[in-house]
Amino acid sequence: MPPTGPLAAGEMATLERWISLGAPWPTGRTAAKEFDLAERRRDHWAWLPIRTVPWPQRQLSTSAGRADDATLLRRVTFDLTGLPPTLEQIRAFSLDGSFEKVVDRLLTSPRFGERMARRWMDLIRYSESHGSEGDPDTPQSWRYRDYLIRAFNEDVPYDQLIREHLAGDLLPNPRINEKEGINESRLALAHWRMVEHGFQPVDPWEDRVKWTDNQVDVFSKTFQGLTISCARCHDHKFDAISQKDYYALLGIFASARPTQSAIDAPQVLNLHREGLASLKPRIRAELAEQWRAEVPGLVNRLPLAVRTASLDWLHPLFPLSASDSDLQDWAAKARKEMISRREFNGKNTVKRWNLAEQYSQWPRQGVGAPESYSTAGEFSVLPDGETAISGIYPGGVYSHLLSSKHGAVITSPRFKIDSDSISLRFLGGNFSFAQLIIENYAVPRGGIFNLRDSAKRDEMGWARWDTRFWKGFTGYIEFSTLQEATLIGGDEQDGRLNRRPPARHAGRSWWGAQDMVFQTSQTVLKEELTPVNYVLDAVPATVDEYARYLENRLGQAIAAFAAGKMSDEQAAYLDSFVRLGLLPNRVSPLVAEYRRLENEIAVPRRAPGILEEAGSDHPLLVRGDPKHLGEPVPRRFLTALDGKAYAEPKSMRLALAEDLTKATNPLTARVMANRLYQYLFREGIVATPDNFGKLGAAPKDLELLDGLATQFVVDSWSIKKLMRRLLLSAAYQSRDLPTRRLEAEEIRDAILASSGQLDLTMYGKSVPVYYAHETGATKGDRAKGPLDGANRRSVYLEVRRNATHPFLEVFDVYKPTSTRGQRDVTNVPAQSLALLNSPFVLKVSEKWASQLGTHPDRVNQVYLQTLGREATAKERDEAESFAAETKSMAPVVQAIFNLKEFLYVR
Amino acid sequence: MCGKQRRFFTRRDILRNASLGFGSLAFSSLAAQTKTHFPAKVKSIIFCYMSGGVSHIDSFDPKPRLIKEAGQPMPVPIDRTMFNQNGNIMPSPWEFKNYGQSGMPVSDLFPHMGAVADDLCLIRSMTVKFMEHAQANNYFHSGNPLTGYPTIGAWATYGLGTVNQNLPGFIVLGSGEIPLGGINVYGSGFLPAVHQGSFIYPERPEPLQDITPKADAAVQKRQLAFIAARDREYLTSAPNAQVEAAIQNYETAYRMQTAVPELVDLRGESDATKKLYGMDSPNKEKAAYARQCLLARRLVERGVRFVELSHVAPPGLGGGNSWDQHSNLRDGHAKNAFVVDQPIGALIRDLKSRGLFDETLVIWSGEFGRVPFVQGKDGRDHCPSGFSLWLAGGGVKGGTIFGATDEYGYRAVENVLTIHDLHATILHLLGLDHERLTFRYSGRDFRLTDVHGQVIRPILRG
Repeated sequence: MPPTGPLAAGEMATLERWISLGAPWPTGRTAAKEFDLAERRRDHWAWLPIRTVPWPQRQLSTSAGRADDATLLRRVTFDLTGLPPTLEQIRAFSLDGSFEKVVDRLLTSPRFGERMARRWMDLIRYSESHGSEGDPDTPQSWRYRDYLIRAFNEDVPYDQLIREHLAGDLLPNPRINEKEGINESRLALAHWRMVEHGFQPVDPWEDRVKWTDNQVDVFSKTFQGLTISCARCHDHKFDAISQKDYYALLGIFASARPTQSAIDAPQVLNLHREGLASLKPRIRAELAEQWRAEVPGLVNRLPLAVRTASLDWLHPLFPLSASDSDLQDWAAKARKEMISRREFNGKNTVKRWNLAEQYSQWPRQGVGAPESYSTAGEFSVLPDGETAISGIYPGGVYSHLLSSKHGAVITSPRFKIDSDSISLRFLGGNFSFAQLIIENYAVPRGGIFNLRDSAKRDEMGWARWDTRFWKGFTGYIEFSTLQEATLIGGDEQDGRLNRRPPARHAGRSWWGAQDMVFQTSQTVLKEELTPVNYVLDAVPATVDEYARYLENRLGQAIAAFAAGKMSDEQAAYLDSFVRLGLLPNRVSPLVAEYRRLENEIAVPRRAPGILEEAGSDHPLLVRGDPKHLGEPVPRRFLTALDGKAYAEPKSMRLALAEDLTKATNPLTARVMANRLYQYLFREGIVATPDNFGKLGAAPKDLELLDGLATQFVVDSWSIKKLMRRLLLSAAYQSRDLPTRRLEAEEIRDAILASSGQLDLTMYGKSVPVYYAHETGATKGDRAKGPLDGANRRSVYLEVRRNATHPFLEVFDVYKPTSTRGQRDVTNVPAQSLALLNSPFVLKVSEKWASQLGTHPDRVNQVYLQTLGREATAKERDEAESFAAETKSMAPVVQAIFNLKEFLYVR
Repeated sequence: MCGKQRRFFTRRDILRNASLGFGSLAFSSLAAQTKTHFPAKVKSIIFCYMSGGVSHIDSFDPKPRLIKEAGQPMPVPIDRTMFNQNGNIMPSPWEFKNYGQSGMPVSDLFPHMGAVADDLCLIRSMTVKFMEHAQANNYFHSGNPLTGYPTIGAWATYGLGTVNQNLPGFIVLGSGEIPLGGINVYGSGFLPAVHQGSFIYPERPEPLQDITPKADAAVQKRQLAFIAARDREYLTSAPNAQVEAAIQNYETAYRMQTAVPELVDLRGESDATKKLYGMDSPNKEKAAYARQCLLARRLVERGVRFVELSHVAPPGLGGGNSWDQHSNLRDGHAKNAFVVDQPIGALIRDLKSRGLFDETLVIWSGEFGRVPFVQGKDGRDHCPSGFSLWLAGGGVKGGTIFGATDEYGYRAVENVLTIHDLHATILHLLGLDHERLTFRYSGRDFRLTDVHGQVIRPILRG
């Protein structure tokens, strides 16, 4: 808020002095009289169209001379790769002298992508944890970092990057990385999940508004250079952004449900699907054939073990050793029991969802998520062991009808919770989850969020959740395989540390969903579907007849199974014979062939993702208060740029991406061109790269900015082409480019690189963070990472919200909260202390010194590798006498890491 | 941060370079030793944060009605709780005594604080908006439940800078325990990182990160000479204010290498002083907290603006929230209180005897209180709707009680306060107007108190 009341005279003078020094300050009116969007739009340069102007040759020339070769090479190498030039590169340049060649080499270096990825990570608030108490993981977020590195290295056009970031799941032709077998477009969505979550919020709706607000903030600053979040509570104080605009966008993002998504290319995910699908009917026929042959006389042949087994009294085989009259009593009792169960369940039911009817409305994701509900009689071929199948399933939705490696998440339509409890009938294994997700809260850890269950059984059974605490909130029911869940450590958080899938099942997880009941009570529902249902209608008079009758029924069930048309009762009946081992269930050659194919399926790779629901228009929150709902605002882009409401609910993010990338958007190309300019020229043409609004800085030269933006679009949004053009300008190569301090990661990487200790391994899981302070996050369950970050480039070090790398921290490393297009550059003694006394710098220096030995040219070599230039004779002598005095080269090397010439580039 | 702000600092730095020279740039504070908005009442803040949430009804807010209605259901509607295991009314297991001339009632948990009751300005009507630890911790420190916002210590050094050039302006005395939510509670958010809390660990061999030279003194001296000579040449070849400031940092860093060990070296303190604080206690945690309190006094003596103490968890209560007694309230609170009570009481006496009390503000609080009804068998859940804290020192009225909760101690009902009010008051005592202490970020001018907060005038002295 701007200060109220006049400033003291002294302060006024200070401000005047500050202004006279040229500090930017918004011109004209700074506080709105009345909100007039059209007028504001008209009055501010950034809303006006980009003027098509030629390449700004004049502005990119210079009167100052060209920097010397060493300075220039060091400058461009750091700017493009974040690393110092190597000895070979220095030599090559001095022999050849072609700066153009250097530029082209650096632009094609894999290091370029690493550098650009880190810059982008500052914009998109990259983080690998959700913060707050426990700092839970955002699983596999590092894959998104790898996506960025690949994308910048491949120079994926910026408009494509935007489409992928906004709607990578909705693109008709996703970008497939053939070599890695990855669907890159889908991987781009991970950033939506990099939000800060509260811990077990008692009001998860309020929490949801907070993190969705962060999504709006990051989206608008990163892609449009606008502070749209300022319009959460009221119309924007300065810019042409209404409060409704804010909620129009919020509504688009609010329809994304959090999930983990398989990022493999379709051909990887769908490997052998057809083969397996065509084998299954043959296995079905084979089983039916074998079973049919077993039926005659089966009951008389029942093994003693089964006859004497403690079968449930309700089991159809139970009365076989009874007398005829007992049989009738049993049948009467069984009928009564089943009626009473139905009545009991009915009494406790408010509402029942029929999944068979509803399923088509359920948002879902994953290759295992079936297109449709399965009627009774499905089965799953076991991947190993001596039995072929585990049993015959009733009607339901199953994730593993082809393979338990297939990931699947299905989610119910959103509903307002109004019952006392919810019961679900489902099965599953290897830590698949059934859960009730309240207000999209992705990291529930027991307690009041004890709304999650792992079935751990391959037969249907009930689980119940007490939902009294959650009445009035909205939620949805989700069934997911283990790796699709957003909080895999959930069981660990509850203190049940050993609940992990056994290694031999690594990568497998499955579930089947059948029934959902909303209840008035906390009563556990009773089983209504048992094997006995299929025999009670016509129990014969004698036990002998009953035995034939059972065989007869079994024959009918098998026939129905073979025909693929069976009832739930038939399935339950047949299933009990299979599970009791009364019917052959062996691994035939067909089953072996099935297993061979199934075994070749790769375990899918997952990354943070989202799952689109149909969604609805978001209510305006009066004064930004989550408890004060106003009218719903139709979802659309900003009024100032094109406020037409989007029509198609399932592709609104795609429509938004189009609004960002179309030719008439005045911001997208300017904002990015300005960033690229800033990366090379130290300061943007607009000095506030994330704020092109009224309170941002005015462009120093709008023609220059428009010239770059125009060329950027003409060059098909190629980041490399625009950077190349800028690099080859006289202005970039000028002697007068402002000095800049290296960024935190550059300093660490340069220390490792120049000493020859940098491990250039690319990609993969992050190196765990080394934290100087114990944090609330760790509670001792997360191993501290290595001090030297395993000598990897800093971009591969883990980024957690609650812990920061101590060395990087003193040099102003980015901390994930929101978009930050320009790092702070502070000057604190902690920096000098880190370079003088940190064990990391000492360790590297000592190692390098011992490698250098007493080589006569060692000082020169150190100078070249750290400072990019030869040492003068004087410098060499000084360094050598220093080394001689301290009887070691290590203090010399370490001192050189402290030189401003090392820490700054010109 | 927007580029404007970065430039802003550069300009100001240049401006200050011209007038003050480089020495005072050491911590790059915007306005070290600049004028306050109005005369300051205190120079420094000592913040004793009781992470996890102390029960107010068991410490500073006695409620006889809880004894009368023990075991009965709460007769008033209650808010949603963290665990939703809400039982019946549980009276405090501790007795209250009236202390000093003011007769302020304090429970048997805190006899030493009771003994200085006439110096305490007790507030019984604080509220926070957040039920969980991490968000309440962030909120208590920065006025915002999420991370990324500057915390009060950062705002204080941003507004006032530091007096002692050899020590950071905002120091956290570390114990290894950090409030839930992590180090962000001491963060500088969007203010430059120079303003974030620097940890000093009194119990560690290296009390401040990288403060101990690993090379021997002669080698380091030689290194510094080498660096200085080379840097001078580099600067001469192209003068640059930022580079010059970075060079100057080495002098400060060098002095800090002496200043910090000198700070944590307590050999010069008398046995009587150490004993007063409880450093001789056989209870390890109490002795450690006593050391923090004594160091807090030494930091204030050296002109450090903002000192925050970390709680020291008794065995079994670690994990960042040692006051968080969802079960076993009696045992847990007793253990925690034993650790902090004598050292904090001593801190106040010591500040007074050295004439520092009137220029220092001591704040004692947790992130919220605890509910008057039982959780499970013998615990209490979080109570953000009303709880107690106290202030002591310059500018505030000792021996007074401000605000009140209802008869059950459940909800603040009289002179209800928010954290923003507390923040406004703390800044006010430092001589800063919370409405004028702003920082432009992300398209607007941010304040510690956002658009809220009023100075709590009735508790101010003179």
